[in-house]
Amino acid sequence: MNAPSNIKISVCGLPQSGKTTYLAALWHVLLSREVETSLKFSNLGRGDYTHLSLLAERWRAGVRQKRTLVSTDKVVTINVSNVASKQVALTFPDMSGEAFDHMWEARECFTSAADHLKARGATVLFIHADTIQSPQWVLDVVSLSRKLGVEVDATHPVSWSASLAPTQVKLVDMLQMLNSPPLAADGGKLAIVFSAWDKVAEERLSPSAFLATRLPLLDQYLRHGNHGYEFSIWGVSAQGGDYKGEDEMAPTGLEKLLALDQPSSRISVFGGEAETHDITEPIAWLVN
Amino acid sequence: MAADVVVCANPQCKVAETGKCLEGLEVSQCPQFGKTPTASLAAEVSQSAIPVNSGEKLASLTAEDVLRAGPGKVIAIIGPIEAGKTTLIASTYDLFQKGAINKIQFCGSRTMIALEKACHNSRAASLRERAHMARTKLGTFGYYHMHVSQGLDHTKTHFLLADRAGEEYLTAASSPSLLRDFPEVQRADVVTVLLDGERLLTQDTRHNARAALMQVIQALFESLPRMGKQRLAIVLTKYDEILRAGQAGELAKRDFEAAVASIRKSFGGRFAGIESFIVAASPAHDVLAFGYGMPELLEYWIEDFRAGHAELNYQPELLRAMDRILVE
Repeated sequence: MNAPSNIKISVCGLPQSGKTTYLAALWHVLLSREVETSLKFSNLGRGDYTHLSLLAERWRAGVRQKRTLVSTDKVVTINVSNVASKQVALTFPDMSGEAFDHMWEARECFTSAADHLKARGATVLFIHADTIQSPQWVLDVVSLSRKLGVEVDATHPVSWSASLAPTQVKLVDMLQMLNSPPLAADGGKLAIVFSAWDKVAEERLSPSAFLATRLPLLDQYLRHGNHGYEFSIWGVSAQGGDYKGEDEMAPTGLEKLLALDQPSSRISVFGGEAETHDITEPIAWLVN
Repeated sequence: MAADVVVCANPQCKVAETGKCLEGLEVSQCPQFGKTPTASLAAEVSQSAIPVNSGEKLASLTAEDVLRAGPGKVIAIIGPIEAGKTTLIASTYDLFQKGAINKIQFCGSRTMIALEKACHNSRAASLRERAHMARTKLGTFGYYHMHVSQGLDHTKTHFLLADRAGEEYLTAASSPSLLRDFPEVQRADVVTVLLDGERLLTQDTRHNARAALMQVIQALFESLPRMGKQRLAIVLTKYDEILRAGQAGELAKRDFEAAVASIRKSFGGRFAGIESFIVAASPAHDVLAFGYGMPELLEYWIEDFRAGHAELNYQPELLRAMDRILVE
């Protein structure tokens, strides 16, 4: 049997953008074989799956993932076969969103993250669809406040801080950094994944239209910038609804999710024409 | 008594300055919070890191590298103190935040940190009641960069927008030889000269504002090296103030039109083109939309893609003369 080709996938995104939840759901779906998927689980081989198993355990139990710490980045490898039955070993560093925040704010990249990023063959960028910080202007806010008869409290102006930047600015700069020395890798494919898609499904926009509407600066950059990426966009609900934190009461709707016979059917993926439960779709597009 | 100092064992964590844990945790949950950063502990919890692009304004040499990478435009923006030079740049960038500007698309920027800083005081996140632009400090000259695409063939252009303190232009207007030392003015594809609309509204500043404009144009006339190659944009700023000023505003508009007519008459042959614009880049009042007049100015800046690749590290004549002497 031919040795599997190894594809290193960088999973990028700001803090709490759904990276770890996606990995948890992906591992469950592949191993459980509950739903039809584009990528099929191949074998465990000699890997250590402790980290993935713990993530999937929390996911199945309806418990939110713990924050991935900068100091405890994990690298996981999953052996799969694609639609052409080609064996592929997918390597994902489970990188902390704070590492990406640090790049924007401190203008430096942790060496461990840089090593992963420079070696990547493909990239997934996660964006939490429901926590996008859009830019707002003093003129608009003050004008609206006055129309509503609300007092504007400007007694304590806030000094500039990189953390105040709109989400789309941070993401454009992140992609630019990934394309420039010292982190540049060979272009490749870029899957844009809007996580928590169930939260914005009411807007009835395709993921592509959502990008253009909610993140127009990123949309322009992706469609017109000299970045060399071939990109595609998905909306993914990896949980199906809200999960609970440890020692928290279950939020509305969780009971219904947990009652589903197949946990994989909590997942919704919007990419092409139809909604599916196949969370491997973005990764399959990257490796096919 | 000194206040308690907030510390973290990880020297890379800036929680003391920003209140934000590097790990994104509540400080009560962070195992490193509150510990003194001793060398051994720091080595255990911190990570080595490599620098990435600073995102700050570009120095002239870096700007040259950008121009070598593809077609580019250098825009010099000249005006008195607080006329709104940085506001024009910040407003252009902020309009891209909402989408394409008259089919001109944003393709990226090497100076996103600098642009974000420039925009901050007109953003709601600043918690201000009125948009305000911080003055460019003396000695902080540099270029803001935006890469844009235009037209059906998506022609791409690197925009380098020069940012220099108003005081320096004020001095140079009285001594044209100084303008020859400003690389952005010498290399500019479009020299953009501002007339502060607010200063036209009061009798004690009105005549001086017009006179200062004429003096700057005269200084340019005497110092620009590329006869007939550079275009001139004359921009009336803070149009929202003019609109609110009633009769004084009407007078201000007439003053501006008269100044433009005079410039065309006296200096028309010196420039490849002269156009006037009226803008409210970041209005303080909601009589006009944010970025009023900026799309037209941006289109003027971007038109004509035949920009050359002249060097930005322009050598003043004196230096060149000395070089000649040395060579001889």
